[in-house]
Amino acid sequence: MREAAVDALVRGVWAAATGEASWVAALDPVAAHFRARMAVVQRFDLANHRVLAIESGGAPDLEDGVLQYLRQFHQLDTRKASLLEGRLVPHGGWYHDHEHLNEQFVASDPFYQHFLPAYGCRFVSGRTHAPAPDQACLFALELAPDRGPLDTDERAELDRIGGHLDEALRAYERLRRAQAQVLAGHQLLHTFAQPMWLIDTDRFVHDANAAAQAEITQARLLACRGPHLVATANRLEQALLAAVHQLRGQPHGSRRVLQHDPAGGLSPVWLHLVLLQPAESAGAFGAMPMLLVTLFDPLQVPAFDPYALSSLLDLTPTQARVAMALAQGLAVEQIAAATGTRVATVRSHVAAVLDRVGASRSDDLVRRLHDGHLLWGAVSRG
Amino acid sequence: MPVPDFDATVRSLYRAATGAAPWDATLAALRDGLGAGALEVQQAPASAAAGRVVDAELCWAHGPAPGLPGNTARLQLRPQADAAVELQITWSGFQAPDTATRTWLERLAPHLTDALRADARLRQLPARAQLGQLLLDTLPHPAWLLLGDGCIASANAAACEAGTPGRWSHAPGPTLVLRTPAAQQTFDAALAHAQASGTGRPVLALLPPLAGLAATACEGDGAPGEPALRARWLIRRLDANADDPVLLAILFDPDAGAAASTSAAGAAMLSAHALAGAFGFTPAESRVAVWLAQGCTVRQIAALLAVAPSTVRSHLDAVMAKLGVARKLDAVRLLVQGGWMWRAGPGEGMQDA
Repeated sequence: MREAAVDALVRGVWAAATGEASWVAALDPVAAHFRARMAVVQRFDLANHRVLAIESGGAPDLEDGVLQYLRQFHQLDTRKASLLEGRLVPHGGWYHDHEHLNEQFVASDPFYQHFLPAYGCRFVSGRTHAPAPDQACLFALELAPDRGPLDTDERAELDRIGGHLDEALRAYERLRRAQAQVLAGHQLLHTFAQPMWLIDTDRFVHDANAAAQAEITQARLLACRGPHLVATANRLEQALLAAVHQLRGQPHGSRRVLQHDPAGGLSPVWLHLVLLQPAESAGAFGAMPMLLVTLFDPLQVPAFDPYALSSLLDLTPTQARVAMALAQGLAVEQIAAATGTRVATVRSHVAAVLDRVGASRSDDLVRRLHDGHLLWGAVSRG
Repeated sequence: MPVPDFDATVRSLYRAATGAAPWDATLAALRDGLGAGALEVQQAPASAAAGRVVDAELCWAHGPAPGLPGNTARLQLRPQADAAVELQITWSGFQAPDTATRTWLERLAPHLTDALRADARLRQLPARAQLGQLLLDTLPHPAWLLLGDGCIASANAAACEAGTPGRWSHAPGPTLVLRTPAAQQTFDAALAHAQASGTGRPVLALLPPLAGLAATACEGDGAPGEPALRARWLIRRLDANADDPVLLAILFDPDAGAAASTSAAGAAMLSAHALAGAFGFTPAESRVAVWLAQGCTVRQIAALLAVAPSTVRSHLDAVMAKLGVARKLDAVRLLVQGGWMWRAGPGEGMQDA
């Protein structure tokens, strides 16, 4: 009976680690099972001695206690420093404070006198581990005075949960970082002026930026057939098919470039494919390889945000507009004509921009403006 | 019949589901642990799954193996609403799972479902994360991806290059720590501002020039204070409303690229090989194009490649013809605009340039 209950707690821990449920949903039942006031997971930055995060479950009236702890009382916590440095118990071992701290110490320690009693806690049983070399983690139960310390059976049960928690937290941190990168990938895709698609090896479209969506609507060179990305020209479609096929199973970062000369004497465009191949992918399950497809049309120039440009490079609004026009390939004479100013005026703006940016020539300026497109690219959304 | 260690098996399943271990090895270990001859996983299409099993009645069906002497245990799983998975374990000959094994399998069933459900949800994650890293690496400025608790989720190539000698910042540790308290304070305030302001669209939080940063940034390279004075942080909150915000912090120093032309770092250079492949340049044309995109003049390129300026000019004409442009400036624009696509990969920077 107890074994099934602990199995359910383990399942909860993993559900939280994989993002299926919240940590509260995982820790509430842990606190209930052990009749603890609270079950808490704390992560610490060992290099800078900071509390990184606290996840807790248990009595709802302790939420205030967690805040108080984060604000002030963690500085007083006598257990923390010695625990985290692994001085009292080795990492992965258990710490039961009634075994380490006697009544006399407790009676004189401000943390035990001022903080814990206010929240009905007295005993702490916890387990430390190191999810990363510069981090420490404490998984602990805060126990009421009348509940008493954990007995041997309870320790064995908590040990089982702790063993899973070690690994679950590592997975959780790994996934959190990957999810941040996923978010960055999705957002940064939209800062590129070229149409870009994220497709899988079956050419199923998983993400596309605004330029790509416009391309699809026009069905100029690339189009969607159902959920799949296809080329409208037969020759390009054949080449795309072959390139995707060749890239399968290649190492991460492998590339293919397809040149396409559109009919009617238009200037050439290039289709660029990069393989995103996760380390662990196999068969029906596991990570899935994808491809980033970019349609590179030199005539398609990125739009810059003049506000970002002027504030990052200390340019006046007029200078920023001239810089943008240069970056978009306009000649000084064209800029003068478009803005209705004299060529000499535009030249003096160009000179001022070169000076501000620290570029010596206009092609150097163009290079640096395009290099920083993530900084001042106008973010367009579909 | 022995059963494998329950907790270790559970951990291995979730390890596979979260991308830390391959599934085939995990399932092979489970098969061997159970003393079974085969363990097969079959994905059934949504139509076959319709209404057959619900999560609450997870249970193994035991019976003789079809066609062969042996016994099987089969489990229907529904990791997602539109997907069904059947797991079949086969013991050959007269072997059959005993009561202990059956109980053990029943205990494992909910974890198997959870692990497959996590797998289905997370299987796009690694490739999409790689996309994020790839796009971050296209930025020539140091950039860090920060989590809500201040931990660094990732740093781009420029940040790794700049950060190794502790040039910009960076005490060891999971968080980004600047080297002077004043710089840290300004940075923290900007982080808080970006966190608080990001409710809808991503926002820019600009910092005034950092005197504190300038002092540290120039330490290693001998140049006194001047160049880094204009360096500033640009912090952008990437998510709209999640509890755990993700911030992109870019350290922008407008003066950092000034001296880049003839002594550029390998990572930022275009790859002659990639350019030749994409545009059909000859090796000599590719070399000229690489330095052109670095912002070099014809005379500088001639000096770098030890050829006559007239030779560089004729290569340049060929490059412009192949790119379909009439002006040198347009050739530069075209090359840098798609620069990340023909940039040198790790380890192929200088030797082919």
